[in-house]
Amino acid sequence: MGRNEIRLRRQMMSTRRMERHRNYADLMARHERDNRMKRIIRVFYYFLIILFLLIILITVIRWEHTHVRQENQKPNATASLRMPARTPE
Amino acid sequence: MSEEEIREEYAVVERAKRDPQAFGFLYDKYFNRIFGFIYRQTDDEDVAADLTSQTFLNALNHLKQFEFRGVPVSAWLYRIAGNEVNKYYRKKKKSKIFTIEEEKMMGLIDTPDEKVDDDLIQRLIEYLKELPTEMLEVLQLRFFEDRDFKEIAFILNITESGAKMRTYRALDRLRRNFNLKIRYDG
Repeated sequence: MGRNEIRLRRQMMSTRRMERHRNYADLMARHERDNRMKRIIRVFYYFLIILFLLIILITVIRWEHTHVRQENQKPNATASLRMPARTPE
Repeated sequence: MSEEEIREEYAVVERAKRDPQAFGFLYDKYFNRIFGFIYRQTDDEDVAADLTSQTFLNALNHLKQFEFRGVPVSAWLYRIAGNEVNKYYRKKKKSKIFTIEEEKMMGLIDTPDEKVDDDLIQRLIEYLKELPTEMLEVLQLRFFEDRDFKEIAFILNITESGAKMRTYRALDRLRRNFNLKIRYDG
């Protein structure tokens, strides 16, 4: 067996027989369907991007909120304690 | 195909980018040729119908990316069709089939009395089987589909000199064993 398969035909397929497979209306319908699908996918991607940005925004706001609260809980005034020096007995 | 005709086809493509219905002109013009091209490489009417439909659908879906390269729109369609056929064979894990009409085969060989017997045709088929696939592709496009070298280069995504070289080498190999009617015209 060679590298390629070669088949011999008596005649080329007739034009009339080829015409049976011609269907422009079906092609247009499939094109419309594909376009609709592409639009849905695009909208879905936009939605994902917006969702991602929202999650980031919420995370930042929450982090900021927690951070501010922690800052507020820290005592403002500082007190220094000095231990009296021990005297030898 | 003249430069003017090519420009006219591109004008149709530009129109079709705004109104897909305009693509119908190109569909009508090239359906049979693309169908025949795919059918010769699959030898299955239903598969050829599916792949032809897919070829035109891909062309229609990617119309916006289409730009003028100086070759007829048909070259672009042949290229998509070739890719579809290759994809089909990759998926099916089968080796590619080339179907040649008897009349075309007889047109290749030059005999003194213009009579080509079955033995000679069988010998030629056996010889073609051994040719590398890329050489067969070039021969098919040049002599069975009547494409010029610029188009062949575009369809197979190779340089024009590469297309000429492959044709020359393929014919040279055949000529060592057969008297060919066709001449290298690169």
